[in-house]
Amino acid sequence: MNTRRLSSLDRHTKLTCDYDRPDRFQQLADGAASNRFIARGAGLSYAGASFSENSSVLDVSRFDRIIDFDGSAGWVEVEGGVSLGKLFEFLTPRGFHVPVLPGHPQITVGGCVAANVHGKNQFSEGVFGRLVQALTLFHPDHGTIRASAQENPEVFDLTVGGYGLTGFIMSARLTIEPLPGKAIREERVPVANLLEAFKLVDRLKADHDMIYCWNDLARLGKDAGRGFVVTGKYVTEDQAEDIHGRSVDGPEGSPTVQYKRLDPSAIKRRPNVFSNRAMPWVNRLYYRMNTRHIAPTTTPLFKFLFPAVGKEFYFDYFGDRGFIELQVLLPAASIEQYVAAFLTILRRHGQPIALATIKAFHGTPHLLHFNGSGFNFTIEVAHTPENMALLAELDELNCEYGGITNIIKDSRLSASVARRQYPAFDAFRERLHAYDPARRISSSISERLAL
Amino acid sequence: MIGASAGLGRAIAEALAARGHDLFLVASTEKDLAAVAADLAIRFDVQVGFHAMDLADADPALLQSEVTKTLGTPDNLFYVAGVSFTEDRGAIPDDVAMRLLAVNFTAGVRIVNGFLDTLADNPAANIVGIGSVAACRGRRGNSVYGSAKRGLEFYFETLRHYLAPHACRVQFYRLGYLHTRMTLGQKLPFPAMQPEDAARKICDNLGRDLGAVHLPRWWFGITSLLRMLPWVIFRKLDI
Repeated sequence: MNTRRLSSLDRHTKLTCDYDRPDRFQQLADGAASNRFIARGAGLSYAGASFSENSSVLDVSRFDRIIDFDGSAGWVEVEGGVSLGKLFEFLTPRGFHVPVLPGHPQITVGGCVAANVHGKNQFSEGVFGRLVQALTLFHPDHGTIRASAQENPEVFDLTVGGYGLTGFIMSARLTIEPLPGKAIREERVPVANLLEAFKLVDRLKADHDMIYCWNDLARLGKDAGRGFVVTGKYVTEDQAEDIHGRSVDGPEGSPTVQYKRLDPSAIKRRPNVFSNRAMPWVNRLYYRMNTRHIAPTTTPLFKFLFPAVGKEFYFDYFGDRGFIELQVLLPAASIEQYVAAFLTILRRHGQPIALATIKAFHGTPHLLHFNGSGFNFTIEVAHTPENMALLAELDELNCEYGGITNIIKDSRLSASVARRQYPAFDAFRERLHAYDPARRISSSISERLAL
Repeated sequence: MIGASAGLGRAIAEALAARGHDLFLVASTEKDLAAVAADLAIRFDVQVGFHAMDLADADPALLQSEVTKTLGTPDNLFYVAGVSFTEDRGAIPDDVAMRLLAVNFTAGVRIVNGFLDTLADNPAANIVGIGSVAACRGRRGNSVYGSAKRGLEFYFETLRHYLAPHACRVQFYRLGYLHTRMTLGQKLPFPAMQPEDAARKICDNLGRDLGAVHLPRWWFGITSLLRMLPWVIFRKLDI
């Protein structure tokens, strides 16, 4: 087996791993039989979900076939290595969509199932796991298992949101829904500060299909957290033409699916643009660019659904030291107090935040799923000792306010903090060990969290 | 499409399906073939049949009957299958040598031979073979593989000559490095090509009386240089 230097998207975790990219089922089974292993899809997790130096990394990107489709019954069955871009390209001209999509088209369906991801519409559509009707899983000790809520429900429950620790997700049958519109009517509403942003997201979510907010926390004055709320509503073809007088991407057109591949493991020189001094100016510029013209626009579906496309450079701009993302799900009831405490800590540390976003959430917590009701609040900071101290203090704050940290996003989250935040942490671990006593599957995440 | 479950074969199958061709796929494992066939049929709305066959034990008559039963008379035949082993250097086990010869050469001859009469006078027909730059000059490494690919190239040369008065066209590619599992992690002395790019060029050339060409073309310079190297120098190269 070859070795390859692999990096998480945040570049916090960089490891040299045994690596293979099988393109036949037998090769995959052979790779899994020989050692501890972990499946790797797009390799775009912020934390090291798809590699470990103690495991054979088996890249399943060649297992990217659409194997069955029934539009009238509303499902598509795809292999785990199918990217969301490929799925979009297939479904959109046929008038369907997967209603829960994370922000980059390169992400694979297997990764979406494993991390039970969310999109910009979690408050209305829930998490990706809701769409999974059934799975075909391969584990060298258990063979091939078909799992659903009715068939092997224990395996199904552990696999959806199980961080790839139950086996290869060979295929997934996903619920698809009729595409509500062929484009997105996008609006931006400026907000003056962080608390106002939370309140506005909460108020606007009922009238929109998608919503998120960008906040500037690189400046920590009175207007700390100023930014803009982005709302999106599906529009029909007629409405789209009314707005712009030209057709946009959609079921009848050819969807735009060309994008630059994102490879955090690629060896290249990375400039450190987000220095503490530059960050406030970069954010100020970004704020100005996005609030200068706030008239509604019609945005092609692909562009709105995958906002990271075209902004891949952002992930490079922290330089080789990388960054850390802390994404926390906070209860809505105490958001006012949380914001006050959060800003106090931030001002005391004096470290600028490169990026902050807010989304609305509605759901039920389960095992290690990043799901529940309230607000999804995300910050990204440069990977420096000062920021690590800041994040450690924020961990305590989040525990105090009942927040849960997104495991797939945070590459420094400790087992002790995760255990405090996720009431079912030990239950998940016990069930995982009961299913796989030898713990054949291991990733950087599972090792850090001692799962 | 013989050798359709992975790599270049799968990429050519996809390029053909995207151009609206119905396909019949052959490879060693049914599970891999079924997935590729389903994907192409669903995405491109074409008819895709398949048959799992170990080429070391190929049955051209059975294959011909399966193809005819599923799709009727074929227009194009692609022999893309190939196998190589790292131990292919000097004396190797007989079964390994037999497999290398069968998959890289004899099965190709037998299958093309089985379809030859069907294809010869079809004006839409092409017979496409995939060789390797490894066959440009005999050397220590990949000795049986290179020999088999040279044999296949020679057979395609005879095919082209035989079919010259007929309608069917013949194309043979001396393929350079490809980004496949075979080259994964290797430090290659020359750039590798994406299978999808190679597939597109191969499909673009359908209908042309091409003979044997290098893919990418710049490999012609490298193989020519290797062939021209005086023996006193060539014998010292560890390639």
